[in-house]
Amino acid sequence: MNSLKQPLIHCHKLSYSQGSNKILDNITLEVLPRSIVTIIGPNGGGKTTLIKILLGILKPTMGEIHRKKNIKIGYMPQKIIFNKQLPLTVRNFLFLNYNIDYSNVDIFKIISDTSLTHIIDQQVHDISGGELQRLMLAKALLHNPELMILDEPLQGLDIKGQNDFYLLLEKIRLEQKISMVMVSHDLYTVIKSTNHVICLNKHICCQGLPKTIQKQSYDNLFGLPIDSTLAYYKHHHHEDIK
Amino acid sequence: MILFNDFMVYALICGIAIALSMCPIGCVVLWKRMTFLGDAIAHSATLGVVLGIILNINTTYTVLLISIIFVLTIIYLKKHHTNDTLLAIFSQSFLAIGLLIISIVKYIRIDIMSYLFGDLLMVDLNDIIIISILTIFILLWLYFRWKLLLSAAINEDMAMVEGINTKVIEFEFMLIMAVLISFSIKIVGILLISSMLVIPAATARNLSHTPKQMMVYATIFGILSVSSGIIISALFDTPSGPAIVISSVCIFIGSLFAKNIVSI
Repeated sequence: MNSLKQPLIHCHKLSYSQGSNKILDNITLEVLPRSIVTIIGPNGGGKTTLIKILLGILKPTMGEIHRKKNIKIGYMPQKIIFNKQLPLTVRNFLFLNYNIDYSNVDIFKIISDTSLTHIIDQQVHDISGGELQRLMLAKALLHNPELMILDEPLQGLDIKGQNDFYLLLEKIRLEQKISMVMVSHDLYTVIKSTNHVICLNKHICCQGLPKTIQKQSYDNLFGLPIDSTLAYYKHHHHEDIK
Repeated sequence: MILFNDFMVYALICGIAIALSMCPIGCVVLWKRMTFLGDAIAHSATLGVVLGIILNINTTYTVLLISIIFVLTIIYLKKHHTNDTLLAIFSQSFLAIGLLIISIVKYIRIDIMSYLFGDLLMVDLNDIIIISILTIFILLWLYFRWKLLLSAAINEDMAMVEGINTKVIEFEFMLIMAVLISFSIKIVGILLISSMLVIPAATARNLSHTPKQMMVYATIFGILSVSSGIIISALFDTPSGPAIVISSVCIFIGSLFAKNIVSI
């Protein structure tokens, strides 16, 4: 029981600055096992920086971060752009991982779960946006992760694509009991089963359950002095998707 | 027959050995979007050539020293500036210092042409031995570093999450570029060295589907263009560098046609 309560990642009063520019200030957060944490916030609010600190790519300038010992993290970066000068098939890309014992991973199950079988020999440059996201997901799953960190996994997908991808994530999460940290710049497409939403604009503006957050309007959340020129249009004819 | 005297044989062996290491490295240069690096190192190497002649040392060693200093400077300062800006600033300043020294020190007379465009007659047995050892070393490095190198080239962040130290890989790669270019300047020439890196790799890209395939094709095209270039330069008494470049460009154009035929 104790191991269930022990956080996978714990940050305490963490700050990050580049030169004199403070990007993150006084961030304290916990990622518990089997939870979903969604980080939302405006562009330039430090979401990607925070993720890079959680992953250990960047070191915080102040504060502490503790990861569970030998934690396995799967990472899905913000839309990856493949260099056209590098010929690479989906298969090459999946089998490239450096410190993976492929005998421990059921790679064929991952490939079929993410429906990549039919494009396995295609060039990574030629696949569609949805296929690319599934490929990145498969790549992250190869690590047999306890925690998945996803940076804007829905970018560039249409509504149906987003919905399909969420369903897939949810299925894999429940099957493999993975925790997730997910970044989104869109408040309205927070995954339904999110346990914890963090609103980030350089500091944590507010946090809590999705329901409590949703009651406040977007500009109130981040203290942005903008007139709402955009409105949320509810597509009634799509309601059955939910 | 003039074609098969000692010089020719030396130059051919040397050229093929250079192609064997330079073409796979050229692929990595394309993958890492560092096309400019080869040129920059070669330009800064001019200072090495001048120093070698003034101090009366084998220019290969002074060029090696200067290239390594150049690469270390770039790696050290990279945190503060973008890569291309740094490369431009330092390669031009190394080049300028070299040219100033030539004009100040009156007693030296350099046939700068042969360094700029490559000269077969400068290759000796010593060069062949060094280049062969270097080639074997570089191929081994590629073999052992393959997954790390490729992961880092695809996406640095993902590679770091996998536990790859991308900084070390980059450091090793830049040092290897410096060493390789220093030893190839004699035969390919300062101005044409980056075409030797880039053209066979770009040719191979047109025809390949996997990274390994691209390296193998690039090496084959590189060997073809080096050997045909050297034979042309011996037949028509031209510098070897331009002849090699022209043959590789011809193969590149051929690959464009081949690619279109395949895609039809």
